[in-house]
Amino acid sequence: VVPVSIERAHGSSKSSQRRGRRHDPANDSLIARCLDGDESAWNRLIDRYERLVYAIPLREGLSRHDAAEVSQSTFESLVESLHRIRDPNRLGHWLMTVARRLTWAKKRSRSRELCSEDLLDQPAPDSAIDWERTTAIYEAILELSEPCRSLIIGLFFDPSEPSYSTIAETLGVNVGTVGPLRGRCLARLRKVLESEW
Amino acid sequence: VVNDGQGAADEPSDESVSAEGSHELPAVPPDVSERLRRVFGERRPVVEAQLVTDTSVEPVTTRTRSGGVAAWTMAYAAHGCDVILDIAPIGRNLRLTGQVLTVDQAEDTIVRVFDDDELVAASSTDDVGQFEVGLLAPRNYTVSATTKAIRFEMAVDLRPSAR
Repeated sequence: VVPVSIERAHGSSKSSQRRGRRHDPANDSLIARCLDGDESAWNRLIDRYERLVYAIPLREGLSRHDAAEVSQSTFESLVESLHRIRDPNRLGHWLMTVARRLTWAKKRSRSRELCSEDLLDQPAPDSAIDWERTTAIYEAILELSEPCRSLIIGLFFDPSEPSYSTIAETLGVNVGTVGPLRGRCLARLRKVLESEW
Repeated sequence: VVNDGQGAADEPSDESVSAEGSHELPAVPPDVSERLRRVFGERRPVVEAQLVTDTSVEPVTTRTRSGGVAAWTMAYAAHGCDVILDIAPIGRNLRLTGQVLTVDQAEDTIVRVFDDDELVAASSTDDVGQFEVGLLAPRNYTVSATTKAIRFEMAVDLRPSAR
């Protein structure tokens, strides 16, 4: 059995027939019952919209864990907003808009976390805080031994942006070792930073 | 899935948003669905917080300036809770940050901003109760701060013309 949507259906004979056949209460009725504290009405709204809401963060590439958080926040927002909903027939759109906004916020938050995980990928500093952070990174680099110090400076701070092969030649190592060495040196740099911050 | 002309082409319209039985939408894991159902039982009593301070109506010497345009602070209070809103004009918009001070909880208070019936922004507080909402258009909003026990609501007029 595939139940049909009743949204935008109020007043139309076709949908009234559908509604009658399915005994599917309209959103305005469910919202009114929710406002009266009827939990079964809330569960009916969840039945109707949970998959729609859950799909939005997934479609935007968030993990299932984040999608669950976005879904929960969306329905928490609905609980807070039940008395404000002006057009119950558009509740689906309302939920989609909220879920989309919360998804974007989650993506921005995730993006910021990724940035902070790799300080060297930060854009040029333009504030006192960034300048302080960059200074700390420079000082930490100076504490690294060779070849890490030269490798990090060559990869991230040399304005000529030398290629891996150029860096390998400068360090006197095989070009194939630059990638693994980069990972090890960044790990050492992170240790130094963590011990100082 | 039908394009309703308002969202992206692959988004369902209100004609098809009833997710029941749809093969286009992913199944919601049972534990997630259960959490969503519990949301209703966890709704908090609402307390209206009152505006107690608005620096934009105080003498200009007590106000800070941001890029030549006045920034201002509004403080709301209710029993057991103070909410500080810092508003800084950025171009034609306003950047809203603030702090929720409650007697029992600083972290993870959910701050939501509603424009009429529409949720326009949401954020949560850090370990000292601070939050950042982001940019808002200058108009009237309802801001809510939801702790584990209670929800505070406040009517916030962010129109510079009103000051």
